[in-house]
Parts: sequence; C-alpha cells; structure tokens
Amino acid sequence: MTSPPRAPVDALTGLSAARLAVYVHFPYCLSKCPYCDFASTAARQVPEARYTKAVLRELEQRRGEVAGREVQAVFIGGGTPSLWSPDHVREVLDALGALLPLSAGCEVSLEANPGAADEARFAGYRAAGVNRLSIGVQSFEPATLTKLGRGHDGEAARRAVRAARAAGFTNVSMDFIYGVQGQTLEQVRRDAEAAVSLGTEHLSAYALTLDAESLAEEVPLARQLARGEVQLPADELVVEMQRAVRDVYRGAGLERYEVSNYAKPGFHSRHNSTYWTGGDWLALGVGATGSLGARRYSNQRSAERYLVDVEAGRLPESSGEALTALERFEERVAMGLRLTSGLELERVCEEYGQPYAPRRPLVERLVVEGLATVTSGRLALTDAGLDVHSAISARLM
Amino acid sequence: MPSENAHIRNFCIIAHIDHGKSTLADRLLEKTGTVSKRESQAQFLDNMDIERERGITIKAQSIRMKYTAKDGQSYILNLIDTPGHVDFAYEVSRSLAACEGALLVVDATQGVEAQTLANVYMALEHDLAIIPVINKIDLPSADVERTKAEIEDVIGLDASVAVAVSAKEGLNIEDLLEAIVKTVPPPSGSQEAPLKALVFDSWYDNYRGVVMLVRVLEGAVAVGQKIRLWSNQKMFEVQELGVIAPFATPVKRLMAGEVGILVANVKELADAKVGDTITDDARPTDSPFPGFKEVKPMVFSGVFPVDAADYENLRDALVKLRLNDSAFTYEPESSTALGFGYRCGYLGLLHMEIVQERLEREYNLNLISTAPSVVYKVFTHGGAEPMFVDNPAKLPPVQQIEHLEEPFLTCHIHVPNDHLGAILGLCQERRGIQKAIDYIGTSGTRVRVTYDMPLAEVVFDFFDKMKSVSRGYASLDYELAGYQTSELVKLDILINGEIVDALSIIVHRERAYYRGREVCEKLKEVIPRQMFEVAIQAAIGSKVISRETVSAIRKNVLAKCYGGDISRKRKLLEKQKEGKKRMKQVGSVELPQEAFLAVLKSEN
Repeated sequence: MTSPPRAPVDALTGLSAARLAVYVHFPYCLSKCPYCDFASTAARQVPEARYTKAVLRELEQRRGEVAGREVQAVFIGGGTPSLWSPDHVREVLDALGALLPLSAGCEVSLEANPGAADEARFAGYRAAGVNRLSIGVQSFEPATLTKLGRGHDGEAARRAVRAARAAGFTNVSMDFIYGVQGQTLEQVRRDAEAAVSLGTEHLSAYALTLDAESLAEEVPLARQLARGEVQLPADELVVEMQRAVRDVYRGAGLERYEVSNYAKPGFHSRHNSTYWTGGDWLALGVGATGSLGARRYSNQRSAERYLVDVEAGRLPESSGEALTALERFEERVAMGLRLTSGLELERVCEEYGQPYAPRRPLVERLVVEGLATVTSGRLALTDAGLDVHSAISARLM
Repeated sequence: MPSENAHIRNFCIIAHIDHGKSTLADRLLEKTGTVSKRESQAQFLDNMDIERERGITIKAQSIRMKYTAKDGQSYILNLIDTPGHVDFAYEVSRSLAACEGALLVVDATQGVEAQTLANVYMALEHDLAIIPVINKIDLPSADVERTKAEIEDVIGLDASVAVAVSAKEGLNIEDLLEAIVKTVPPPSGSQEAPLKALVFDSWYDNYRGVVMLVRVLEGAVAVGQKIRLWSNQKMFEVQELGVIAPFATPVKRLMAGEVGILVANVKELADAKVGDTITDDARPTDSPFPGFKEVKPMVFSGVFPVDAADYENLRDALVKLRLNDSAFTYEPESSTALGFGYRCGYLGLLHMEIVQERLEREYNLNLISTAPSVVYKVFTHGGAEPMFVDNPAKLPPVQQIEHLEEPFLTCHIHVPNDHLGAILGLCQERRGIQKAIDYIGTSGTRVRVTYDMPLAEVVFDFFDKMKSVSRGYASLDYELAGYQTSELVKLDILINGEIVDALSIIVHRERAYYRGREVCEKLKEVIPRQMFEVAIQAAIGSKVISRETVSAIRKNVLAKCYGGDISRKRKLLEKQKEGKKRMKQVGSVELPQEAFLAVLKSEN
C-alpha cells in the first residue's frame, strides 16, 4: 500500500480520522523504562498464548457494544507489542476482521521496539495485516538513550527502519523524546536530522513530562526529579528544542499536525486522530481505556488481574465513567486545539449547547497576541499557542 | 428593702488572649452549679465559630450564677463578658459600665501582658473594684510573688487582695467566689426611682427580633411595661424578660442592679444601640446614662462577588448580616474593574475581616474586597461645601481639588519606659504629631504618650506594629480628633495600561513613591503568570512612578495525549479552570482575590 490510509473527515477539525477505532494493548516489556507511565509489565517469559486468548475473549465480550459499526483504524500499542509473535497478532487481527467490519484502507498500526525487531518478524506483521509501524527510537544519541534507560543504540533504530522498509512497510513512524536531563539543543537537532534522514512518513517528538499530576502512574525518573537528582532543561530551552525539531522536520516535508506529531502530507495517524476529534474507540487488553459515546472504561492495569477477570468471564474493568455533555464538550475543545488544523469552536459550542459569546473576547485576544489564528471559522493555535495549550484550553473549555 | 441589691454582684473578666479567661469562666459556672461539668463544652462564653477560632469575643455575653457564700447568704453573681479588641473599644466600655467589679486575670508564668492594660485603665475609669486573679499556679514555672509585684509595679494595683488560682485544675475557685462577694460592691441604684437601664449589647434573633442585654441601673422593668429608648425616643412594649443561667430563663421583672435580656418587639438592630438608655414611657428618668455614642464605621471597603451572578446573594447576605451587626454599613457601589458590589463600612480592620469571613463562610460567597479607606474631606475649586469621599476611585480629578483633609485620632499609648523609643519611632513614621509624654506614678517605669495621628495610619496595621515593637506591652486608646489638611495624592494602579479603579489608594505625597513601588512588587508576587505578559504600573495622575512585569507563561502543555490520558487530562484542565474561577477577569488579565488587598500589606 503506497497511498495513505483512509478515514472519514471530521467536520469540526477538517481532519481525516477514524470515527470508530480499536486499540489493543500488549503490556509486556523486557524491562521498564524510567519515564514510561503506560501499563507495562517487565517479563522474562511473556505468556503470549494466554494473553492472546484473553484479548480474543474480551473482544467477544465487548463486540456487542459496537455491533454493526465499521472500524476505521486499529492500533496495537504497549508495552512492547513487537514481543507479540506475528502469529498471535494475526489471530487478533483475524478475529477483529471477522467480528467487526474493517473499512477499506483501514490503518492498522503496531508499535515496535528497535531492539526487538528484524525483517522476518516485520514481514510477519505485514502478512498478518499490519500496515503501519511505529518504532520507539526515542533518540540516536548514546548519552540521551542511557538517561532514558533504553537498551538499544542508534544503530539498532536505523536497522529497524531498514527492516520495516524491507518487509514492505510504506507507512512508518518513529517516536522521539526531547527535553531530557542534560540534553543540549544541538543534540536535539542532531536527533531530528538523523530522524528525517531515514525518510519515514511520520514522526512523533515528545517533550519529556515528569510532573506527577499528568502521569498515569508514578515513574522512577519523576521520583529522581522530585529528589533533585535530575534536572530537566528550563522551559525556555525546551520550547527552543521544539522549534528546532519543527524546523528540521519541516525541511524534510513533515509538518506538525498535533502538539507532538508530524507527518508527510496525508500520513497523519488515523487512529490517534480519533482521540483528538471526539471519536469512539473500543479498547482491549491490560490497562486499556475505551470510550464509546458517553461511556468510558479502563481495564485492570495489572496483567494478572486482567487475565483472571477475563478468564472468569468478567469484564476486566477497573473503573468506568459516564461523561456528561459538558465533559464531552470540554474534551472536544481541549483535544481539538491540539491540532494545528484547529477546530470550529463556534460550531463545537453550538453542537454541545455551550454559549460562544463569552469565549469570543479571549479568541480575539489570542489572535492579536499571535497565539492563534482563525481561518474560515477554524480556530488553530500557533506554535506559540501550542506551547501554552493547557492554559488556553482551560479558559476556553 | 435594700436586701435585693445587697446580694447582687456584677463583674467582668479582663484577661490577655490566652491567660485563661474562658476556662476561668467555665470553672465559676461549674463551681456555682450553673452548669454541670458534663454540660460545659469547652469555653462556654464564646458562641460564634469565628470567636472560638480566633480566641476573641465579638458579642458580649452575660451569665447569672447563684452562690451561697461562707457567710451563709445566697448571692447572685452576674458574669458579664466583654469583647477584647481595640476595634470594639466602645462596646467594651459599655460592658464595663454594667459592672461594679472586674477580675483581672494574669498568667502566673507570663506576668502582666500589655493587651489587658487598656481594659484595666478603662475599668479604673469606671471605678470598678478590681480583683487580680493569678492563674495557672499549677504550672511548675508559676511565680505568684513575682506576678504580684508586677501587678503593683506595672499597673499600680493593690495585689494584696489577689487570689491565686488554677482555672484548669479548679484550684481556689471558691476563694475567688468569696473575694467577689467581699470586694465587688453591690449595685447602688434605687428600686423606686424611674426606670433607667443601660443597653450593653444587642443582637438579632430570627424568632424574637432584636434581643437587648440590659443592666437595670435604677427602678425596675416588667413584662408588659411600655418603655422608651432614649436616643430615638421610640416606644416599645416589653414582651419578654429573662436571665441567662446559662440558658435563657424567663422572669417577670428585672430590678435595679440586675442584668438580663429584654425583648420588646424591636424590629431593627439599629433601634437598639449599644450604650443607649431604656426608660419608662410614662415616668421617664431625668437623664440618660452618660457616655452614649453612635458607633460609626471608620473604614470602608468595596465588596464584590467574583462571579457577577452572585450579586443578589451578596445583597441578601448583607441584609441578614446587618440584622446581627448594626455597626457595619453597606451601600451599592459599582466599579469599572469589578462590576456591581457594595461599599461597606466597618469599625476597624478586625471588624472588616470578621464580616468578610462571615460572608464567605456562612453565606458561601466568593468575594473580592478592595483595600480599606478612611473618609476624606475633599475641597474643590469653587465648591462651596466639602465632599466626603470614602472611596479613592471616587476622588475628583486632581486639577479640581483645592485641598484634602483626612481624619485624625488623638492616641494615648501606655508603654513601659523600655519600649518608649520604639513607640515614638513608630508614631513618627506614621505621621504622628507628638502632643505629650507623661510619666505615670512615681517609679518612672510607665509612660503615657499622646499623639495626633492620621486615622488612615492607625486603622491599618498600627495596632499590630505597636504590639510587636513593644513586645506586646504597649496599649492603645484613642478618640477622634477631627479633620486636618494633609498632602495627599491618589495613587493609581494600571494593569496593561488601564487604570484598575478598585486598586486606587490615597496616600501621603511623601510616601507615594515608596508605596507605589511596594504595591507593584506585591502585585507582581500575587498575580500568577498568564498567557500574556502583564504590565503593572503605579501612577500619580499621568506620571508613572513604578513598573513591574509579570512575564507570560512559557510552557504549559501536555506532550502526550492518547486514549488512556484523556480523562485524566480533562480533570487537570478542569482543575485549572476552577482555579480561574476564583480570579477576577479585569480586562484581559486575571487577578486573584489577594491582589485587591495587596496595597494593604506592607512588609516593614
């Protein structure tokens, strides 16, 4: 497949994004990374078959909730899903395809760790139906990788991308982290240049986030930060790093389309765009969070409890939430503003029954101050605006 | 038949804030069987939450106790509680006027504390018999003899009649009761004379209307009697009389010398002023009890709802609160920056804090208060009559002002010689004009200094500063001393170039630069960083004298936001949004509540 995946266009943001997506979480890793707050379990022996069976059983339990609807994107994330053998991934994708109709041009992504990848394995995923690989490179710099506790080196990342290409993947993404303790602007720029030299269709670059409030669970690096053992670069420098990354990526034809995501034209992630455009997603697996209409649920974050629940025929949920109309509105605004394409705020207000008038003065001020633009009714934050996305969202919500 | 009077003792307790007044009162109530130990919740006297939390008494109380003395006779002891802060000096003087005696409680481990001195002097002025009570003798560090010596040296009282007690342990409480019977004289008023009763407290009760706490000085009052209030000459019929022992108990009559509550279908607290005299409508007394004063607010500040939608609720709360506190006043005010609110008048800063705290707490309102101001007299060019301005925002433009006058107080400060220098320095710094320095007594250790000082300098934090520079030993009492011309200017605060009217203050010209800088610095501290840069300027007229900048937030974004993050991040943003709700949007800037009081807080 050389053309980008296909998905409907969301009217309020203008972005093509799945209206119904499926997220499958694979929680196992060889080791835990000190900054990672995803549900993950370091395991020497991954109970692959048992886990696959559990996911299929959960799918069976949940399929009723999305009966008759077309799935427009699938994402297998982790943990380290590339530890899941292609045969098991095929089983999951086959079951999905059999129980829920997958759309034509449906994006099917899988996250891969550079250390756990080779061409044959990637080819296996491809044969199983995966059409997009997202490789967790994080950095090419040895010093940065060490600080992030990553077990691979820059060369492994390059090999992984070559292997993906050799296996036939035409839609490949890489993840990077910047703003790491001790990292210089020059190192960040070198990482960005090395990234674009590999010619992938999509890149994500995340500023390292360690504040307790915005993490799903406490992570070791955050503890070190709190104890004063590590220090992150100053906000000003982190902002400069983002600009450096943006410039390098843009020079290679990848435009920023979300706070931390960049893509060649047409190659933005259809799956992730579901989250930013108020779509529905069915979630399966340990710690996964799904959202269907006003209902949101989270699965057990402990692999053992998840398995026990599913095997006992129970929904493996640890918590649920019924979103109010106001909460859905707030999310639509906050998520939509993460996109550089912006969203039609006035229409969003209208659709969710919220007044626009009290928000208008702030919108005007944002434009005057260069934090946002309004183009044919769509309010979009500029790079400077995205730097303070939370402050702006909290005021427009 | 003088026997009724002969068995009554009316007294109050004067004590430093934590020298054990409430505990002592509780022991007296227990010992006389007025309350059982079981009933006595800690600190029976202080009713309101705020009173208990701050350890101060705002409303007076009075409790009747029965005591059979060692002489075999039965006595009625009326304990009259007094408010304990300089803001309420007048109320204190009225409570003292209802007594013949006072217990002066001194902590045996701390000695005489200055805070009590002002009240002791006031008690002496009312010719009260004072019994020194040396408390906390159960503590190992108690030194009764030294405390006695101090009572004689510092206050000049005869300490030989002092009673040493431990209120906490209940030691020697009976000795104290005997001393009260022996030392406090019985009330002297004639039973046959026309009714003359002093209102020494009043409050609003939701079911009975206004309740007055009265001391009958002469004659008697009975249920059904037609009475007249002296100050307004309004007539009411007595519906209910009672004594508090410790719960309200109805009685048919209150006789000369007695203390009790009186309900007479009075609808408005303003009609039952503290210090007023009650007399018989048909057979009035010749002259009222002296010393009545209309209590007038001395400081004014704007009170605005953070959320404009709360304006009606604020009005309702003010109406209700005023039923209970006639000393505070309010009238509608509108501010360019803060919208619609009320201009409220208070006796002083503590009174202001109490009212505002009650509004927020009891009525669940989210409020912004502007810096308090005194009332200035403004003479304009060509204007025949001066105008009175209690709101800096309402000051006419500078070119129209001929001159300004501000209210002055004559302040009497009692201070031990050791701290005289510090007090003189403070008074000087507060623009005081020295009037007199007198040494009291023969020891040469105590001094009374008299200064004329601008009210604006006194009401703010003078009292606290005076306490701190004298390590608590100085005491203040004051009277109004009219208006005097001062070199005053209006200091405006501009936020992003726009004057915020609610932040304007009136200051002395010589201190304007310093205050301008101070306010800008303080505002910079309290205004959180926003999405845009915030410029803070202080200006006199069109001349900017100080500037600070709050730089914009540099980075405030959640880098990673996928399916599992959305709920958590929404909650974070909601929290951020909630935080904004406590701020007032002024133009494009969000100002926290503290910003409006920033002008009050001076660092040194």
